[in-house]
Amino acid sequence: MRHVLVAAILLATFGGRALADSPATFNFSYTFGDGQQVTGSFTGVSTDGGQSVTQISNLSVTLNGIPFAPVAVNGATLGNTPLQLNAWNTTLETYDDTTPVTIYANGALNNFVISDVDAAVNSSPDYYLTYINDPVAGSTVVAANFLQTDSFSTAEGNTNQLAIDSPAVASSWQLTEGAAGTSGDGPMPLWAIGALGAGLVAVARWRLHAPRSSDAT
Amino acid sequence: MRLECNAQRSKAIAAALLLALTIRCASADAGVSIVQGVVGGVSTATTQGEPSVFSGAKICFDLNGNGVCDPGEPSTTSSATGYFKLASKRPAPLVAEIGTAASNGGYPIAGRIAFRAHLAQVRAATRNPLLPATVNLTPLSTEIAQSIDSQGLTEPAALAGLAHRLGVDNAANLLLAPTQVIDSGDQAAIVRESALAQRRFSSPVSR
Repeated sequence: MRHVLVAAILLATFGGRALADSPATFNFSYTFGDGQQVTGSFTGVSTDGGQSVTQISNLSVTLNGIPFAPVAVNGATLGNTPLQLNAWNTTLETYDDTTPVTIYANGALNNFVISDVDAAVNSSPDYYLTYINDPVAGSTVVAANFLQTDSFSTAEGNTNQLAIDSPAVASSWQLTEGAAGTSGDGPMPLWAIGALGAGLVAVARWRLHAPRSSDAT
Repeated sequence: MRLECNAQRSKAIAAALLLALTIRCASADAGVSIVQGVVGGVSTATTQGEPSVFSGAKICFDLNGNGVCDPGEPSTTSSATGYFKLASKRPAPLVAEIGTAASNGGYPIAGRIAFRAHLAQVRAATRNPLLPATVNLTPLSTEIAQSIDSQGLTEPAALAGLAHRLGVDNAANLLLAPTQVIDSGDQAAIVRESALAQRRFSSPVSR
């Protein structure tokens, strides 16, 4: 019985942390100086309350509401899926596919590109979002979709979607963790972990103090 | 044994040539091209010329290299500040067509002016294809493009040659729009030369 009690206490104490490190959904946005906006989401793991996110997957991006997604043109499909993530290497001054990517809530720390190709070896994406902060190249955010136009590109006479902020404005970047319970892959809320732990303790105590059936006979 | 060694050497040379060719092919015109810049020159409202920007100019990637913006080539229009941004699936020379619909420092334009930048200038300004290269289209960018074309110079050599001829201390100032040059001595030399060049690149009839 004592084992059950100890297990319940351990789960209540450490289980919360272990479960909180499980993947969660994060939403991001960047509003450019000319009013264009990129939004998106991904699944990732954060150990610091969403200030930095690693192990990123399930990427999705929209530019002015139009998703980065393949388009069928004259029977051919242009653009690739799923979206890929590469780091900008500030030492080599290039994108690489060996450095694990961390996306930060503080925009001034970001160095990544999300595109439909492996940007380390392919510089011809059909759509991409990059946010870099490089000591030499400076800070820049670019979002482009070569397969789509919108009211912004039409007004400029541009033949495809293009948004540039150079230098980037870190305060225009937002990264937030998705609401609890919105994703089946998300972490268990802390209140639920606490309730589970308390419930186990209560069960353990009840089992400890309850009269055994053998005692009645 | 010797025959085998020669065969191995031939294979190694062939592999090295193939690798060099692959690298060259990969770097030549590989990737998209994102550019931003200002269409700048001098205002002809005053006789001595003042640094100015062109709004309403048509800027394009000259994919077929014929010196004009054709239908189907990625193009955009410069803003009130002369600023433009443009993307292409592949790098190409840039052309700015300044017609009567455009304005020079707020003043109307009587004829047609064309500025350009050579592909070598676009490449020189490109750090990575996915990052915006700053390429300003000015009378002097056009002079540099002409030097590259007519004299077969590299971009740095054409830039250095023009800086030397104009007595400009900082050659990088030649890549700026005249309104962006801070050094007063360099700006005076750039405005003087820009006024002359702009006249050369103008024609009375608009397209």
